[in-house]
Order: sequence, then structure tokens, then C-alpha cells
Amino acid sequence: MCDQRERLIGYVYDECEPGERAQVQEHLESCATCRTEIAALRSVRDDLQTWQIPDHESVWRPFAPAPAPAWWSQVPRWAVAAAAGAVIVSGAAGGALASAVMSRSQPVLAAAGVTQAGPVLTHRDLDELERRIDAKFQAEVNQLNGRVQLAGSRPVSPDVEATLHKTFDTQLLELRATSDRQLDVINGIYNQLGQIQKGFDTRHALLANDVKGLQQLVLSPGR
Amino acid sequence: MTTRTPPSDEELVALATAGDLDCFNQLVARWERPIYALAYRTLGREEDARDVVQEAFLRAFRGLRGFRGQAKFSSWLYRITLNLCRDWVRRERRAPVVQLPEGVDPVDVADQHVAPAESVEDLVARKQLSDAVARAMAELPDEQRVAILLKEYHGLTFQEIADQLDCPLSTVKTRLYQGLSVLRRRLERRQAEEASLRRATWESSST
Repeated sequence: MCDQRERLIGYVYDECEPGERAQVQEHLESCATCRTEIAALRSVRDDLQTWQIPDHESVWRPFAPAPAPAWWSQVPRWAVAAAAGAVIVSGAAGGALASAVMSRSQPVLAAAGVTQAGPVLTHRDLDELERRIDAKFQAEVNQLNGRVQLAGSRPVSPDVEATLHKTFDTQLLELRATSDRQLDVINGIYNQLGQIQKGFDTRHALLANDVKGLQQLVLSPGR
Repeated sequence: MTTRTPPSDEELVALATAGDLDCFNQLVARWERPIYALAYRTLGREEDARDVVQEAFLRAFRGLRGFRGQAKFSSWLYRITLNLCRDWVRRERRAPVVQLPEGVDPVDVADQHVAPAESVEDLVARKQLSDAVARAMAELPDEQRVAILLKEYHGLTFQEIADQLDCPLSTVKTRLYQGLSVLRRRLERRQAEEASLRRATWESSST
């Protein structure tokens, strides 16, 4: 039996060792068995190529681009600073009673999520923010109006008109996008305010409870 | 005019490692078809192949930092896929199965895959041969089947296959040779059976 397996495989796949190919070729001229073998291997290889894979959809859900920054990172600094002050003021409103129960109320405050960390805002800050946004919006609309009047005051070629229309469209889109973003920020702030309100409510309820307990302790006739 | 050459796999890997997720999406887009083909031909079931492909790319993504370009990206991906397929078969405690697509419409097949000159009879014969190849491959021992898959459908060199399978070069050649020989015997037997079946049908219809 003529055992040339490795060499024949190398020959069939065209990956012979250097110099081997010529040797195999020479051998094939004189060995009918190996010639048949080579033909059979090639025929199987042809058969293998009929094996198709079924069509398929992609299984990969592409990664989305990096997420947009959180709303609070877009809150202007002045608003955050003002809010920090507001917390201190409303904290003082607790007055003398609060100081009496300070040691117990501290962990309670932390539990209610109303610690000093994180930006917090008052309605006054919001009003100011809204006023600024309004003013900016108004200014941009005025500017746009000015251009429209300018365009309407004299005959315009179709080219220029088309360009103007395009410009207006772009500006309107930008304006809309800007106000959408600002709306997001404002909504975020309102959410935050709601949470603060809730925190204060919890805190006041707990304080009232503490005060009641203290009163009973102090006023109870048993002492 | 200059044409911009697309970034190499390795460039995309570097960018993806640095945090550019879209570069990883591009790598997936580039390699999903071959990886799916490998998984499908190894496992024989479309839904299994889909699961393995998804898991393979997730693993690749998670392991991206550990991949330091010691191999080609594709080799690394093939290795992950083959390991997953091996685990899959082991876990399911069954041999790979052959899935025969149902109700194949020859006209559809003609539209998509085959030169228009081919007759319907040829198409059907081709489909039958394809199924027979799939069955014969499924019956091969794992190591022979994987060697043939990597060689025939993915064009890996003997050395690359040896690296994938952690075996000597000569073993790869032996496995290929043995695998092809077994396939050849099975396919020849099938042809003989079909011929005799046709003869029998013809004889019974002509009497």
C-alpha cells in the first residue's frame, strides 16, 4: 500500500512543504492508486462546497453611542450655588426645637435622603432660569423676525429665497432642539424639587414626633 | 483619486478597547457571517448557532482588554466560538444534529444561490447533496469535523488549524485525510443507494 497521506493532503490543499510538490507530482505519474486518491479527495471537496448555511438575520444588537450627560450636569452653576444656600435657610427654620433633638435627627435626615450633597433648587431659582430662557428665546425670535422683514421688503430672487427658507428651517430646528434640551433640564429640576419637598415632609414629621416625645418626657407628672 | 482602505481588525480592536463601541460593532458586522457559519455547521441548529454567536461576541467584547494581539483577531474569535460550541454540545449531552430546512422552494434557491443556468433537477440534486454532506459531517468525530470546517469553509492554513486545536501540524493533516476519506465513502454509498432506488422506481413503473 502506498502511504502518502500527509503529502497528498498538502498537495490537494496546495500547502506542500518546500520542494514537496514536485516530488508528489513525480510520484503521481507512476502511481495510479494515488492518482485515484487525489481525484476522490477533490471530488469530496467539491461536494462539501454544496453545503450552504441558511440565511439569517444579525443576532447582534449594536452598542449604542455613549449616553448623554445627566441633566444635573447641565444645570448652571449659579443655580446650584443658590440652591445650596436655600437648604441652609430652610434647615434653620427648625429653630431651637431642632437643635434640642439634633443628635437623634441627624441619622434620620440621612435616611430621608436630604443631606447637603447634590444640587438642590428653590422656586425662585427656577423662576430666574425660566426668565432667562424666555429672554433668550424672545431674542432669537426677534432676530428671525427681523430677517424675515428684511427679506420681505424688497424683491428677492428664487435662489436667495430658497437659501433664506433653508436658513430659517435650520434655525427653527436648532431653536426647537435647544428649547427641548432646556425643557429637559427644567423637568429634571422640578423632579428634584419634588424629592426635596418629600424629604422635608418626612423630616418635619419625624421632628414633630421627636418633639412630642420630648414634651411627654419633660411634662410627664411621674418625673 | 485615493480610496480609503478600511481599518484592519487590529486597528478596530485597539479603538474598541479605548472605548469606541462603534468599532466593536464594525468588527461584529465583519465577522458575524463566518462565525455564524462555523457555529451552524458545528451545531446543526439555527437557534443554537444564534445563541453561540451572540455569546461569542459578548465574550470577545468582555475579553478585549486581555486580547493583546498575540494572534489574529479572527483566530481568537474562532477559538472562542469553537470552545463555546464544545461546551454547548457537552451541556446538551447530544451529538450535533442535522437540520434540514423544510419546504425548500427551488425557485427561491435559484434566485439566491445558484447560477441561473442550473436546471431545477440540478437544483434539487444539489440540495439533496448538501443535506447528505451535512449528515455525513455530523457523523464525523469532532476533531475531524472541526479540522474540515476550518479548512474548507474558513480557509485556515494547516498551521492555523494546529494552533486552534492545540495539536501538531501532522495531526491536522491526518485528521483532514481521515475525515475526507470517511465522507467520501458515505457520499459514494449514498449515490449508489439513490441509483438503485431510481432503478427500482423505473422498473416498477415500467411493468
